[in-house]
Amino acid sequence: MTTNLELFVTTALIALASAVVSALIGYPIGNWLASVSKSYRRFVSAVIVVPFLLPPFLVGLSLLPLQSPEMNSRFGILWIVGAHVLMNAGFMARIVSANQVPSDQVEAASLDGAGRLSTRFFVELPQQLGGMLSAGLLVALYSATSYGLVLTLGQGKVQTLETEIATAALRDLDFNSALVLALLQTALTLCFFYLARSIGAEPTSLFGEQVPASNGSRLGWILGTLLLAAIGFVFIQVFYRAATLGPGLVQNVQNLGGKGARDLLNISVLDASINSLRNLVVAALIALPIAWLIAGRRKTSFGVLLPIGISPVVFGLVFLILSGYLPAGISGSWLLVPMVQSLFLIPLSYQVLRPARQAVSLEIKDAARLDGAVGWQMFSQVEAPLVRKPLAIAGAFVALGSLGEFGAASFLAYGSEATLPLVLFRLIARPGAENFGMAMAAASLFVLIAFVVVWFISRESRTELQDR
Amino acid sequence: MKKIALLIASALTLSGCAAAENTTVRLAAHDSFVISDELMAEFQSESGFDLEIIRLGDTGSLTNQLVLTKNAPVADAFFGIDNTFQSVALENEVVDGEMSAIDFSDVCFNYDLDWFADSEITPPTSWRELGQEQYRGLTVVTNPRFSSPGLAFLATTHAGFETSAEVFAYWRSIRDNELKVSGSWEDAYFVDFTRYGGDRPIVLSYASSPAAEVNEDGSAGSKALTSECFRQTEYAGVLENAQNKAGAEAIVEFLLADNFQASVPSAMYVYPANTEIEVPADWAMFATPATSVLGVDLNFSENRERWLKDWSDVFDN
Repeated sequence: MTTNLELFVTTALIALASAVVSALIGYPIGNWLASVSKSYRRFVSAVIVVPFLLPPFLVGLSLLPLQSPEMNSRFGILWIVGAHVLMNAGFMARIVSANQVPSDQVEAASLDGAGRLSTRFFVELPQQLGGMLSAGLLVALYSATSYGLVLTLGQGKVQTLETEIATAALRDLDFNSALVLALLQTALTLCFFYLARSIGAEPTSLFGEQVPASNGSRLGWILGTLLLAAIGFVFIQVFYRAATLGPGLVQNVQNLGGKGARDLLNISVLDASINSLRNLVVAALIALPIAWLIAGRRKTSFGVLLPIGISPVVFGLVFLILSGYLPAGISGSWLLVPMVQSLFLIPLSYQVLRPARQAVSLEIKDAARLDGAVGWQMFSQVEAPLVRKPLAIAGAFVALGSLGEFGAASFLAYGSEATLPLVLFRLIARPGAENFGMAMAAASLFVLIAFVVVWFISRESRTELQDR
Repeated sequence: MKKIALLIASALTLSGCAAAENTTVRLAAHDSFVISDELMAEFQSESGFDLEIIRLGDTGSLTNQLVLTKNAPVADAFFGIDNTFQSVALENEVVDGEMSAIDFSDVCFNYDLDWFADSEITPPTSWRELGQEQYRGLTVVTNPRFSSPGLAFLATTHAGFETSAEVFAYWRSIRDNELKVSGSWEDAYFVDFTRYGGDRPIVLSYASSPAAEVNEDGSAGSKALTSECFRQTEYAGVLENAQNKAGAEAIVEFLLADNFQASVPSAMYVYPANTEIEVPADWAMFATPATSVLGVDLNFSENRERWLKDWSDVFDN
């Protein structure tokens, strides 16, 4: 029987290992990325960041066909860490490439006789270390809250704090044990989050303007090519299986309007997608305006960011317990899921919108006010055009985050209110090529949408507001 | 702040606008529930209610989800909680009134006659023999956490031995004999059983399952080990806090009525709880009930968690 301490240690070790390996791979790739030509950089940046923006569950789903069905828990942990690295190495690379040391320092070191490696380790790395450390802690945080991915790739054999919270609450109906585990999970993730913030972590430079660097990285070129190839391979095999498993691509896509082999699902994948889209719209309507309003305040709000440090599984558990005390109209309503999702989507959008709103010149806003602009006019005609890109990025984060959200939905979305990730999980949890083919077809569509979104918002522009 | 409050108030108002559908009755059932289109139409025309069936996995998943959503249940009535999971439902007060017995069946191992004839291995005569070397890698059971046949068989082993040590030894012996544990009866029977393309010719199922495996020439395709089985009774009832209580009562009454009772042998391979209903003779020829049963007097409420923990100690480490 696994003890709470063992669960805590397993979760922490998976998180830290994922962060360290992501940093080791992401650092050279980031240095290489900063040195490539602009058009090529856009393509590479978009591809390596797609796994970061995909929901963890979907990354797990994409890697699942590559696993052996007889895998043991040790291999399961390796697969999970590997999946986290696939998701986060691109994010680390982007942070590094956006935090390049000014080229004059590099040139000065070279003139002084320093070799390439010495420059890298004694001039560049010390200045980049702060950004990398805080990004690494964020990667650890994300890796400690990837419930859907652990459930899928662990094949039920890897136990972390999140999987055991779900087991205790949903399978054993033991809410006391679930709450104890939830406290441990929250302590771990808040610790990562607080440390990251205290070193100044801001993940918003993902789509910022990049300062071209002259000092590329051969190792980064090799690792970058390998990362691109790995990402390409993973997604191509998803598309391949969607086309070849079960009755083939066309039928697999058509079957998304049905309920799976032997009517496994209560609602079709299409209906579940509509539920998810509906939840997305409501979550966005709640999260974006609230984040916008708080982002406009004079003082930075740490409190609004706090939910990032709490696992969606913990939110789901707490609201499941609370729903016993809410009026039936609310506790049984589908609105509960998007409302809970907005709790962690608000801080996500706030992180993007805050620096954007702060960077809009006060003089412009004052001039607009003097001209009589108020409320909606100020937003639509003055600020929004200036922060169009960060608004689009915030919208993309919210959309992809809500659409693929698995942890909270596991606790709160039942029966005909099931969301897309939940029905996909039910499809892959049952053996059978027809159901798996459907799941791969749905995953393919999701990946394509994510790529289009990332490509669209990857456009670099001169009016880019960089976060420091 | 005012704008934030306005946004939240709008969202809450929206939720109140979703009016309760009292012309539809929602029946929560396990994945193996079957009702013909004709019977559904009959219910709908007699009662005036539309019937929506919500499948919530195996019996254990069904029971758990009904417990978790008891304050705002996802359905109005349920079918499929059986005597192994009944204590969970009653302790958590999810049922409004009594639970009504709808059908019963005997949980027994089945084996593929054709497979054994081809393999020249002598088929087993009892579940007690499944740890023997000649049956290595041939058996599939279901996870007792979620599957009622799985829990029924676990209870059978506890009733079939004198001491816990003997129970442990038995489970270890079949585990070491490459026993497969499937997630649900549906997976075990329709994916792992050799009659459906799987690689396991011995499957934990029901005494009545051979009635579904009759070959075209009228010969039996599978056989059940009918000694020391577990008699499982399935119940239906109205859920506490149901939105459509009248509809829920109507569907439970319908499940107890003669027409539905007469359909359960051929639809779900179970015996009707109403013993006055005549079962089809040719069905009864292949679906013989157990010759002896074990475990029905066990106290599930007291022992269920301990048995499952002991089972996990054997299988999850």
